[in-house]
Amino acid sequence: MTGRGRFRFVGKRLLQAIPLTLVLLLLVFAMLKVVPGDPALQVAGPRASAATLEAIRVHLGLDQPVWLQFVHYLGRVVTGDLGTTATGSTKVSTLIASGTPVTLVLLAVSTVFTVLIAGATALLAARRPDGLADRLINVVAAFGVGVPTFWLGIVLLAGVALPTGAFPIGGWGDTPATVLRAAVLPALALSVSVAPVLMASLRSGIVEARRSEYHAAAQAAGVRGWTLTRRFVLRNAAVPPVSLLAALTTLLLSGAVVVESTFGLPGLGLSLTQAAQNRDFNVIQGLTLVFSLAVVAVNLVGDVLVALLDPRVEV
Amino acid sequence: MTTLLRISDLVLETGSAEAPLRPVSHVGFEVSHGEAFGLVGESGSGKSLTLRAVTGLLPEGVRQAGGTLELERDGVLRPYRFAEARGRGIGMIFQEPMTALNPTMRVGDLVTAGPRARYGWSRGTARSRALDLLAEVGMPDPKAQARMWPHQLSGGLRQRVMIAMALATEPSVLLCDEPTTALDVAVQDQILRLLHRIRVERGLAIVFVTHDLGVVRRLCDRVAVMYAGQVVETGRVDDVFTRPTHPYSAGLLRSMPTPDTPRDRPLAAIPGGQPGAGERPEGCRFAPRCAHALPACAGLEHALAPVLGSPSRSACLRVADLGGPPLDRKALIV
Repeated sequence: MTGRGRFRFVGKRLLQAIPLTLVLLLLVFAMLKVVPGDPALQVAGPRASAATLEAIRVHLGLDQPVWLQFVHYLGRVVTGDLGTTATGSTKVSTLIASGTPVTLVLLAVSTVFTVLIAGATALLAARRPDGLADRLINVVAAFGVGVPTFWLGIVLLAGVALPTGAFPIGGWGDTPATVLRAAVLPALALSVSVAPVLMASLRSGIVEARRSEYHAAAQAAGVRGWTLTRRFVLRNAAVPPVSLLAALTTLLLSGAVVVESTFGLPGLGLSLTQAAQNRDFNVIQGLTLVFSLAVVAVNLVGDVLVALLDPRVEV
Repeated sequence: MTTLLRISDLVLETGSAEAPLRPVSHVGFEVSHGEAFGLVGESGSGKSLTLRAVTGLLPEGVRQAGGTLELERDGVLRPYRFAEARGRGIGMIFQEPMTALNPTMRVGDLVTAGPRARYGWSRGTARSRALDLLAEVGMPDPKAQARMWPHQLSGGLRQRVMIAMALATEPSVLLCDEPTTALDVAVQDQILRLLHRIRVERGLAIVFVTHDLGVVRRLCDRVAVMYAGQVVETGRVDDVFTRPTHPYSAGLLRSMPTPDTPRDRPLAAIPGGQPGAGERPEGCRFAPRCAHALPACAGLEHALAPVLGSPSRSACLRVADLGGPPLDRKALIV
């Protein structure tokens, strides 16, 4: 693809993301319309009078037709107004703003871990397909996928954080150093279930590239050493894992909800868990929207990266 | 002419070490400087494996179990290490230009990947040499095509890129593994002309693996005919094509259509099929299909030997009593 072709590709992908985002907004909006439970009742409590409930419904705009509610919802979302928490004490947007950095750091660190673990083990496994290392890694990987993230989190807390004292027993930090230290164990717990999937994809990509005709042709032409590995193996093997990584980030995101609760990290995941317990609709709606948009964005980035890596990709 | 490449007694094995199969057994040939040598045979005769063994690029599961590979250096034939010979002494062209070019590299980078890794060419040197090479193999617009990706080129252009890639390190012998099989006839012709021109211009030796006798006839000086993992006959193309000294070569030649072949009759064919690596008969492997076979043929493995009254070498036991009239030379020119 030429430079202009790539530019067009990115533009096209961005345009495709717009209707997708609208559908997402509709779904997030509809989600709360179909779940059982009365938000007004939630706000006012079980002993509130019918008049109070009605007043609250009017206040919340729940008496209007659904399509109008959606239009109002769209308008509010565009201006960044996602309502307040059920208690009315905090804006949902403020909650999201304070939780986002925590979750982003957690995801970033665990993505780095995932790539490092998957890369190292894939290279080791692919050295000799079906060799001892390959089979051993395969078994460990199967365990990794199967281990529940919350359980692994507890094990890391009890088995590493508690005895060594090197990591905080839950909670977040306030300086870059303490933040990173607080992120290590939860990020590791997250990576363990995701890394094996990436490893398997990378490993088979490497093996396939080494068996390919272009690899043999490059060798016949005198290409060897690191150039051979980098340009005729890794570069080709990286394409499927990169698009997979985008999909796996979605998995990491849902894992973050669990891990943040286990480790008590003040991120978006913890807010979501608490909001679900309190039936705090505005918060759930706002967070679901943020999570969905994040998934759309990550897939967009993944597609663009794949297009950069593999020139044959066209839309 | 001095010998450039000598393969002797090459044995290739697959399967377990206890009960190996031998897709190639005791194959040998020599190629002189500047010579075009053809290796012909049906699919499964071991010709492509033999060629791959010369560069040490055997497919997974196939191993060299015997034989010596020697390349001329400073006037002396010496055994070579693959890592040393690849690119520098021996270049190779593959059958499928679609799969043999790395899809994630631009044509210009691909062509000079070898010398960049071998001789540490700078980016600038590589760029200008890539343009020279692409022009040499007849790319219509080297500057534009150097920036393209392999998938944007036609099959014929891709094969030209493959050739440029193999020439980049200036080999003295070019191994061609059915380089025109995947191309349509018009493009085949262009590529054959190109290979012939490059060979003459560079004084390059070429080993041409093919099942196409017409290609051998047109391009090669000498030829070895392979059957079921062995060389059954070798000699000058003129001799082998007019006076084959092995019933298998004779059968192959008779089954090749010429412009004079009558269209209302079926082509001549050798009855039966080539035995696979696991089902080879004792003695002469062609004997069960051979019209001239004697009981002695089945017991005795006959090595390539000089033939009385012919410059060719043949593995046929009965070669002395089979000397019939020569085939019509004119009919065989395609």
